[in-house]
Amino acid sequence: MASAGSGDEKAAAAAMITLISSDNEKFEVTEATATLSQTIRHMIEDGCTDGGVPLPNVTSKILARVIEYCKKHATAAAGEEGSSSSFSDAAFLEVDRAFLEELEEFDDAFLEVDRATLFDLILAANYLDIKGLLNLTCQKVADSVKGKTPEQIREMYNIVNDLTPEEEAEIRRETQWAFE
Amino acid sequence: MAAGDSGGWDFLDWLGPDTSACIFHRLDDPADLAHAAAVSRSWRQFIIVNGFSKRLCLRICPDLACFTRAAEVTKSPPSPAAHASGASHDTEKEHRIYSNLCGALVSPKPSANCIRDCICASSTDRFKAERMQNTLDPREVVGIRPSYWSSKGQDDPDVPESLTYRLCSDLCIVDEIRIRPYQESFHDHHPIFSSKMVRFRIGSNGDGNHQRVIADGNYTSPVFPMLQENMLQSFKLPRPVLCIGGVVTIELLGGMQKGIDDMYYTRKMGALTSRLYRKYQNIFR
Repeated sequence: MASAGSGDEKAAAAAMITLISSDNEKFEVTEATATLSQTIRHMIEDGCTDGGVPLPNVTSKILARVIEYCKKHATAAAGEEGSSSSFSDAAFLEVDRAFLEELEEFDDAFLEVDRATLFDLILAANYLDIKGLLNLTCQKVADSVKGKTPEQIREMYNIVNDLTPEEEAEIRRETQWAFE
Repeated sequence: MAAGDSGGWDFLDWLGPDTSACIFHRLDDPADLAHAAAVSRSWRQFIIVNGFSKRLCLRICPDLACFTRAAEVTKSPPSPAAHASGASHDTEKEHRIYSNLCGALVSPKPSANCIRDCICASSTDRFKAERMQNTLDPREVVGIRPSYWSSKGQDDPDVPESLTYRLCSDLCIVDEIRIRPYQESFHDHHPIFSSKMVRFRIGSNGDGNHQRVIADGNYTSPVFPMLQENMLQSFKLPRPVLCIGGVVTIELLGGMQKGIDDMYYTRKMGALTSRLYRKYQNIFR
């Protein structure tokens, strides 16, 4: 691991970026963590991160969670890269599986949040363009709707039914197979 | 971000259309999408305007991408409730069609045999006694005669034989075809007249000529090996295939057995319940 390439990577990993939340709190993160966000990656590429990156759409509470997610996933990605060069195939697969399992456990625990936090995480993931986090959080909401009747969905999300009884009856008649 | 304070958690309001689309896109069961489309006016409109039913349909059955237009055939006049979403009549109609098609595609209901009749065989040995129509009868023996179709026979076992059938609708979804090779019981060693392999061509280009010998349509299956056994063998297609034009050709590749009384490789098939078709009569290309 003495090549110029890995030296550069180390230098990049050590570079720190300052993220500033909407309530003006500052977070120091490594570039490897920050660049999980495509939005921030582009800002770094454009060289406009000196003096910190203001994120006016993300509160400190949410930003802290987003950084927690990015740190974990950046470490996992780096660990996978490292293991591929220093282990035999079998050992690599073993390490790989352990990483994935640990990551899954992390993701599951990460999603144990109240609904407001979940929605804010989705908005932040969308704004910061973090694909993994957006997939994870949107899937959680989609899963909450799966297998539910319209009434159960309304109840869960406190949605007012503004369809008239006639319209509702007609919709049910049209897609009867879904309501049997 | 105080929507929760007012008691509403409607994520369509909270997250806006782009991000909500990420969520609706993850509803991959047609029933869930149909339920979501009955939650409220805004949910219904969002699902219809963004064509989620059609998108899901195309994910389930990519053949549908060739549909340029969908039309409804209905016995009753359109009801006023059709405008519940506020979406245009056409998008609403399209939603309805694709939603129902999605539902039918994944329906757990047992599918029906959808072969209607025979179009032609590549050859028939003895007409009447060994004609192709016999393959539509699941019985091994009808009256006192064994019921099967037999090809004329080729001296080259590699020449394929084929059977072409008309399905009960111009649009069918085919996911499985079942074939039973014929085993002769009146010879000592009970020879079986199967082919080594079988392949299916599904669909027709729809020029109205149903007398063509081979379906030239939209899908050709992989080649499946056939068991040399007198049993109804099931060939499940890798995915449900939309048959456009209602024609299916069964290609019998590689003869195994020379006829006892003659010198040719013949293929004889007992029952051929092609199966598993679901039919659609109210959707047109």
